[in-house]
Amino acid sequence: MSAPSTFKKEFLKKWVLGLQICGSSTKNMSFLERKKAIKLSADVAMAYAKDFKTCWSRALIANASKQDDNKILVRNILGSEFERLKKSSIGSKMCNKRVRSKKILKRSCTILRIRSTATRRVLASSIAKRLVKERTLVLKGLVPGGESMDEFSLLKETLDYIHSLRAQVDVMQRLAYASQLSNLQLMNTFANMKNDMRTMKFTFVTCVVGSFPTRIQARKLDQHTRGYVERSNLSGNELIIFE
Amino acid sequence: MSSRRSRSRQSGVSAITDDQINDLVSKLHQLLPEIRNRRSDTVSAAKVLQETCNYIRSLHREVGDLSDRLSELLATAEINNAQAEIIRSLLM
Repeated sequence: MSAPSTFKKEFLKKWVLGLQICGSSTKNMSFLERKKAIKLSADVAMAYAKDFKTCWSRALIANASKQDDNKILVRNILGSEFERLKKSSIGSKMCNKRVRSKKILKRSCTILRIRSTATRRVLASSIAKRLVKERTLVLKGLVPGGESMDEFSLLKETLDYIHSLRAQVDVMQRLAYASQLSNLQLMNTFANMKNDMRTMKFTFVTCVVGSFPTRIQARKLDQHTRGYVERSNLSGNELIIFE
Repeated sequence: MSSRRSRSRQSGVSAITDDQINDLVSKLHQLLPEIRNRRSDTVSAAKVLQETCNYIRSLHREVGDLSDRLSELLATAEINNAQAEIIRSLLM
């Protein structure tokens, strides 16, 4: 299916953009700050990649921009989209109060009905209905913007949300794996360099992992150039380095 | 009374979209990473909803864990424009 892969591409583009913005703004971030920034840019990118066509994506942005420190990052990533979203999200807040009072009324009616009709079959189905209602409430809490949705839209949004979450997890896993490998190689390279500073010799190893190769960033001490290794044979030292 | 009116309106709406709701529930059921062989035809809505909530929670947790890992891994390397291009071309 082409839809998930285009979604993943869009997500990756926007996520990397967000990470760049994070990196450029504060150079020395603590571990927790960086983690929050990564997660936030991932969530914003996921919503952006949907082009804000779904309810959950708009609600996600609205929730993210509630906190002041997040708002700046969100605005930077979204650019002009941010203002457009702000205007459209005001209407959705009004639905919340109405839905909540209806829920309370429905729940009290259900309890009265259960008490009056005592046959087991009716009781079982009422329990089932009660379970469904309770779990629907929990689901509403999990899906962004779920509180102001009716059951049908909630289910549709949930389906879409789960698809997007899976794609998000997949892309993040790939990046983590790739950076882990490149970091490992990098560490090995630096270890060798430290041991052998005079000869300035080092070996590069790249691996092709699954469907994607990894790249290493390294510095040639004698020439003070920095480059990227694109590909190399596993055994030899042939490198293609370009700036 | 108003409650009776809202109840009848509710049943009117659900009669139209009952099949659609069942369809959505079965679609959700297919998405979930549980053993699909058992109860493939009889899908209990309550169970599907519960499993869905658990699944979403686990996906959220995974995103958090991955953010942790990436926070460690990307600590040393800053992402500049050239690297961003490379990452994009690599992973896609």
